[in-house]
Amino acid sequence: MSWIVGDGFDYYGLLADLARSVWDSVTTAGTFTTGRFGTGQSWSSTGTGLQLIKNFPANESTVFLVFAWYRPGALSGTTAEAAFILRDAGTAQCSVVMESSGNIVLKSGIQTGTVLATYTAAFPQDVWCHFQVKVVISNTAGSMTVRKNGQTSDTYASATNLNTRGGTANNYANCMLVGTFTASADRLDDVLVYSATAPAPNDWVGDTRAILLPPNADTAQKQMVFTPTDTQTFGTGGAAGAMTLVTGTVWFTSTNAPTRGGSISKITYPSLSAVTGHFKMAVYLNDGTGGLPGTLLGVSAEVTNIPASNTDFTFATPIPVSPVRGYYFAIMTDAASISLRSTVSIGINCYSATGFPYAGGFPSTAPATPTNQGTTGVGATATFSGNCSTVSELLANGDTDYVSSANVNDMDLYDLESVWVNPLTIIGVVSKLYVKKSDAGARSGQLVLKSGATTVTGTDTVLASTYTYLSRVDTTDPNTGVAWTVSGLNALQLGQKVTA
Amino acid sequence: MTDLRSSQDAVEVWVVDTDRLVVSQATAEVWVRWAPGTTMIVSQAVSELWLDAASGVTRFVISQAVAEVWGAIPTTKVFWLSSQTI
Repeated sequence: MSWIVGDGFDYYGLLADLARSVWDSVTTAGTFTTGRFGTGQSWSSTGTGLQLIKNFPANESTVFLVFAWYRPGALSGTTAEAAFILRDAGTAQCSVVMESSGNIVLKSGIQTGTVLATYTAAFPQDVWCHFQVKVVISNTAGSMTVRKNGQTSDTYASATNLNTRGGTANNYANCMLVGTFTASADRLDDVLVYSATAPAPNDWVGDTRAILLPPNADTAQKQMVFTPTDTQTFGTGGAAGAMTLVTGTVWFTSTNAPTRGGSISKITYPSLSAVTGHFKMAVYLNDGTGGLPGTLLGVSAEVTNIPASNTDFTFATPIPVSPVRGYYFAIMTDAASISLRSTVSIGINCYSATGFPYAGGFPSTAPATPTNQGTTGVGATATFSGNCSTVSELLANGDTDYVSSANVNDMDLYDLESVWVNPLTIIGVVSKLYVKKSDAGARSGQLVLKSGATTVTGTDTVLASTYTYLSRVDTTDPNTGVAWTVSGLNALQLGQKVTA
Repeated sequence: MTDLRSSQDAVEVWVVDTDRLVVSQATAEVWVRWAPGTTMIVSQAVSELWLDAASGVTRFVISQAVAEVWGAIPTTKVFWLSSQTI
């Protein structure tokens, strides 16, 4: 199999989780910091001796190292700050070295070995760069080729007669060590390593990144028990605020994001005064231009007259939400002009848009240019729930909340957040569970992935008493046998099953 | 009884984004903002496209059909980017 390892570093709650996930061995874990896209996490060096080690499933003569790299601070000297060291068992064959100079250097053996080739000025300071590095391991025909920032032709190509077999008599590697050798706070993100052996990915793939799709709704397949709660809230909070509602106007909150995924059943509006009229609330996705309200996700049942207390706006069809997206709450009324005062903050950067009569309902897409932006908006709280809310936090939180079962064959499956980018290519899907057993007795389980009518499972695993990631790599859709599509991904369900 | 406990489920999707911005060799600098929620990208000479260091967001992935020119435009060319031109 060509896929060796992929890690976007985004879902880890603890540095110790690195060793419990896709890597075979980890030494001195470093730190997590802001990722390449301003969201998620990257892995950063905090000193020498930081190592992530991955053993290959087979001996490979051509290896692709795909990663994003950020080097803070002024470039100078020729210090080997980080390296991808390709090994035959424990012996280094060659190293792709990220130098303090901004060069990427191919060296024989480890990061201090003889220089074989140099890609000068490969990266500037303080800028994320994406690299695809192809290394051929051979004593007579070795090479390093680099494509930077998604370029479709070679940005750099070494000679093709290098001796990249600096350690053993074998023209291959079967292990990779990613190491850092300084405390330069370099950042590494979206590391994907594969070989030239079929199936794909086994050639240049482009500027890749990993995006996270957390659960956002339960399904009918629901047998596990949540702890401690399956109900969460999100929305505005703080000091009281007030606004004047005018008919024909949609009033939006500032954007809000839940900390977990789940299905919104209601929005609660805490009014300080009783007002007369008909009211509805709605939820919009923040996919409008510049992160403004965009797609209408759902509209509440109508409320007639709001008392001077909490009012629940309920949704007959729950609205799935997740922590990787942002949401706006909105309100409309047929009252001519009323002052609606909330017991919670109405926030900042709220929006309103005129030209939408109450009888016509909320627009399916919010106007690209709101009529007004300011501090007048809706202060409200959404309640969402589901077993999925205990397993959908962005960073793993262990025993803080979870689902569990001791019954063999019990299984949960969850709907997942839709793909929130517009992918040119979907290279692969890595499904993950963060699981353990709760007590001294034996318990086994496995990951379950359902695509369309096809259900596949991960390795049936005897669980440990500490949380460990179980994962499964699918470079094609198991329901079709061909490359993933967005619609295929959006229909995907993930969960876990007790097997023994 | 010994339970199976699951604390986090997630799917990590490895993608190459569409709508790649290709800036001509003649372009000196373009500042672009796009939705959702991200801030700006900066491109510099030739075909290289750079991340804005301060914001730390991506360089040239545009997820909306129409992107906005954002901020100061210090040099000669300004591109209004649409899905037809990227």
